[in-house]
Amino acid sequence: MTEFDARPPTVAVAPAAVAAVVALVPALGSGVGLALGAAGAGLLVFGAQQGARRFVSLGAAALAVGVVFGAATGLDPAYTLVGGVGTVVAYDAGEHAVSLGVDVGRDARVGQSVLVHVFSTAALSALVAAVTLVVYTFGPRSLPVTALVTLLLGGTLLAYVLRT
Amino acid sequence: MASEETYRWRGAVALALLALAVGAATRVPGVLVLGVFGVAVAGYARLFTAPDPRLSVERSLSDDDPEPGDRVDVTLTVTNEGSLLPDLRVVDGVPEPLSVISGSPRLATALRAGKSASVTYTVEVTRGDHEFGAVDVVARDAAGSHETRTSVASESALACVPDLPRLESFPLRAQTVQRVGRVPTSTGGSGVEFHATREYRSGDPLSRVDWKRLARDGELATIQFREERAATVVVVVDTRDQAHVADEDGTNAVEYGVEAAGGVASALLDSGDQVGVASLGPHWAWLAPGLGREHRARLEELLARDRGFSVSAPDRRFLGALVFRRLRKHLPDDAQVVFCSPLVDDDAAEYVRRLEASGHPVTVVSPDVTGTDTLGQQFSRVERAVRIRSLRTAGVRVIDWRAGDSLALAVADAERGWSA
Repeated sequence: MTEFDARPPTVAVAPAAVAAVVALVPALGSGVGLALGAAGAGLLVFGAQQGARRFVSLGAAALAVGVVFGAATGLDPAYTLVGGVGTVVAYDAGEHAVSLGVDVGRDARVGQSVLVHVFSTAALSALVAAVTLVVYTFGPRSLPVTALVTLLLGGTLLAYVLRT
Repeated sequence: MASEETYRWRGAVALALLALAVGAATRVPGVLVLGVFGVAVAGYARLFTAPDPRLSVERSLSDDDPEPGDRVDVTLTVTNEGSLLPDLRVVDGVPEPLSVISGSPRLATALRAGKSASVTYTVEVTRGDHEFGAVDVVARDAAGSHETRTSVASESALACVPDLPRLESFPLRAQTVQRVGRVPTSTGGSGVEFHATREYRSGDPLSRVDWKRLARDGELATIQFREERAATVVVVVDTRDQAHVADEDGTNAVEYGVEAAGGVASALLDSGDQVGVASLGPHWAWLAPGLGREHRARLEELLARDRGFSVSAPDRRFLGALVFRRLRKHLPDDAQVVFCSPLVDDDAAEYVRRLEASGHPVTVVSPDVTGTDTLGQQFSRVERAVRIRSLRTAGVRVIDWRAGDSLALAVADAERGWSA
């Protein structure tokens, strides 16, 4: 008899690993960022493989902080957004893999679910990143400080409303 | 149907705000852009509502009437009758006693409206009636923020009624009924085996006159043979909670008990005895002793499919005194009992003693499922041996059947012990 194996299927973990490596691109510029990001990526992939949701979340958070560190060195926004998209896809795929492990196990056929899920997340976050970049590139060059503060406040409020 | 949030994007906003704060402090545009991106992704996560899966499920089996040990392919087809389901997980309700030997009864996929997906797996069939349960479904939205759990009813059943196992003969105790059969008695009459001689009485058949003695002494004497009679036997299977213990292969003692009961019943029916069966456990089952092909078929069916003889653990409380009284009431006065029990607790031995005391000679067939690996296992092994010895001392015949060996061998071994 085949025992139920609650670890995530390998097919589901692979996209998370690829995305985590991509996310490290902007962190390359900063030593601390790279160390943090690489540790986070490793933890995320390990967690996804073992079915440990906590490790996936922790790894993704470390990866995100690593990307922010890398971006803070003054990198071009296009590169930082590659890191952002990578982090989002890596976390999304990793968590999806863990939940697949819990629900259907390692031996089940999951290809289509993984494909659709990863593709939709990747496409949508890439779109969001592109829009952000376009607004940044073609938006107003200079803003008065009050406008910036108001924008930040608005962004914070929006984020508060969206909190989950 | 239950929908809930998964909270899988929890913390995304915090990280986005962190990036915004760092961006505002350092005035590096890349970090600010990252923060804005983070907030937008958090917004994406809130974009969807909980999915409402409308599915129809169809299950097909490659064989409706398999033998035990056969492999049956089960194909489960799920059709989406509602809107797009980007993330759908399906788990088939495989009956507990069946084991999946290849493939997986689970599937994760994405289903567009009107499309179907199917999954095939193989189960190894065991004795009994198996009902497939409802199919459990988990559907998530595209961002995975909400998930809906539900189940879709789909009934299919698999019945597996094995033939009674073959057993050449089974030795019975010396209690019989007034019918010709194969159990030798201590009464003289017509038969095969020599019993005694007695004085000739008028009317004795000439073929049984002891002519040699007449020639020697001039006295007329009649030879008597052991009469061979039939017996009425009720095979009782111990199906109490305590009897649901497995050996090292994982085979349940109740399964051995039912196998033994089938073998004994088959051997005794072949030799012209009346055989009935009963289940001594929370799920009472009873078939009055009888003869003939139809009775044999009924017995086969009952042993295979009745809840009383099922290997799944009982889901009722066992009211020992009540069930035992019911058994005593059902037993015909002149019936012998063959008790199939692993004898893993004192109650089992106590039931045997009480049956024996109430005038029903008992033969115990006891599958040995005890192990030797741990101290506890060794202890229960010794306890069981002590129980068997005390029963034998009390005059009960016990066939100690090492699980995995052939029953015929165990019977022959035990018989040698009795005649020695």
